[in-house]
Amino acid sequence: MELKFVNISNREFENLNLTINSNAITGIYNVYNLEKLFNDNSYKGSILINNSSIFSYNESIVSYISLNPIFYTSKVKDEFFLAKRKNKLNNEEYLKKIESILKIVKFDKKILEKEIKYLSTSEKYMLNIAINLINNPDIIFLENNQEFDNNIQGIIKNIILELKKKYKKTIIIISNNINYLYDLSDYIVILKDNNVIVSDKTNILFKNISNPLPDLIKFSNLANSYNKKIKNYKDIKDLIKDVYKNV
Amino acid sequence: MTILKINNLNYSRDDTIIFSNLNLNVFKKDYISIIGLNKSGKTTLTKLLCAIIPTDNIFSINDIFLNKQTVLDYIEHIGVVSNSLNIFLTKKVKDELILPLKNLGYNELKIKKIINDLITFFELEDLISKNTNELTKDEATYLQIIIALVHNPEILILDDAISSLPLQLKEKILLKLKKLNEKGLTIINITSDLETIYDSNKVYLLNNKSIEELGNVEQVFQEDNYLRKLGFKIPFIIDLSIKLKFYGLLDKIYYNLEALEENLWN
Repeated sequence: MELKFVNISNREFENLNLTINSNAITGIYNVYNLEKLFNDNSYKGSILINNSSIFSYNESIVSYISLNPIFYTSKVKDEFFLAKRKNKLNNEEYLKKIESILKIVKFDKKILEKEIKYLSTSEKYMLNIAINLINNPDIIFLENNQEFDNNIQGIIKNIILELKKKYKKTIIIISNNINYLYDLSDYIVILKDNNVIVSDKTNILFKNISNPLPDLIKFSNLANSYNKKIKNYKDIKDLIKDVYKNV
Repeated sequence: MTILKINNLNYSRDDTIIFSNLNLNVFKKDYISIIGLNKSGKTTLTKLLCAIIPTDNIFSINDIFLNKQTVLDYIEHIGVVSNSLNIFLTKKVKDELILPLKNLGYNELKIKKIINDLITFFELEDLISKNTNELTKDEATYLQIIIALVHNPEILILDDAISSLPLQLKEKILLKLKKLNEKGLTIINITSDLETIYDSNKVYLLNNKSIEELGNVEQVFQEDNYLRKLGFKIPFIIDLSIKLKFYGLLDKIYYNLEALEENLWN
């Protein structure tokens, strides 16, 4: 589903115009308080989903997965149960869904019995993803945290790619790490002071800007200043091969 | 000279052993990094270190053991920045900096001098007049670091505090921390982000419920395969250096892209 922000103005944004493409991964760099648009309607302008107002859809059509999630119960299983009630799932649907979602986020069933306050930061984040997946949203915003180690980042990356490919979701990643966005996104939007500076397909965007640049592109650009023709790569192994040819 | 000591820390929670027989000696003016993966207990260790989780005669600063009687004296020696502990108590950024100084009973003249010094050192000119609820997440993190330092502690503890910041701000903060360390501040950087450890004089690994000394930064990155296997992300510049070194195109690990390419292409 395509998402459009049209002339949005509030305390955080001034005339925000942005189109998020359907069934694609869009990375947004350096945005803040975007989530408030989905919790607080006191903005001017409109948010459109497939060219219809967001208010004409069920609220669970959009999920915003924050780094600081709010949980309403004390136990993991109660939090899932709350999502079950909200989505009016019968027991059979619920058990089926919970089993597949636990697999996606690589949680053992034992986690259901745990107290949320005893979960680690990454476990809380993954729980937040799991709860949001029960709602089966079409548009998913994910705040990314670079504190997470490679194991967790790998799981998150696989979830994002699967949601796009298998379930045809529209994914928006919010991150301050341009390397992360470069690796995963089909489109990238760069903001400064919450104003859109540039927005384009990932493979085109970095030809037109000098900052921020992913490390791999920074390397190629700097090599060019030494009259070495190094292409833009997404994988360090491909870069090394090209460097080897050029030395 | 030892400034902070952890003596045989054993800690369990919810029937799970978090730390077993953990010992650590931190010396005055040390800048140590304790690296750990998710669920290794980084935030728990921070909470224990700064007495949010009470302990009895396990931790000591300047040979004074932390317990119920000494807790107020103990926490005066430390400043803490943790994403899980960030709350602002006032409406204005300036008031947020003044509050801990007022609590210490400083007079207005002294407070004014400290605030002016902080504004200059941390380049706070634009931030100082803002309301705390207007701050972006990055600005809020930056402010939390300054608040942790307002009362001039001997030790600064960072719990994955700067990992999520954009590169430019991260580099700015790391440079400030390096300067403060040179002036005598002891820094304990607890993190999973290896990009933040370059200035440390010693690196420890928090793993398997305990802590292991890995050596200096160079020694740490010589064990890149071990770190990768555990799940750490090797920073791009280090990864590139190691790979180019393997193919005989570089002779050492570089921490700066400009220096690496100058050596490579010339």
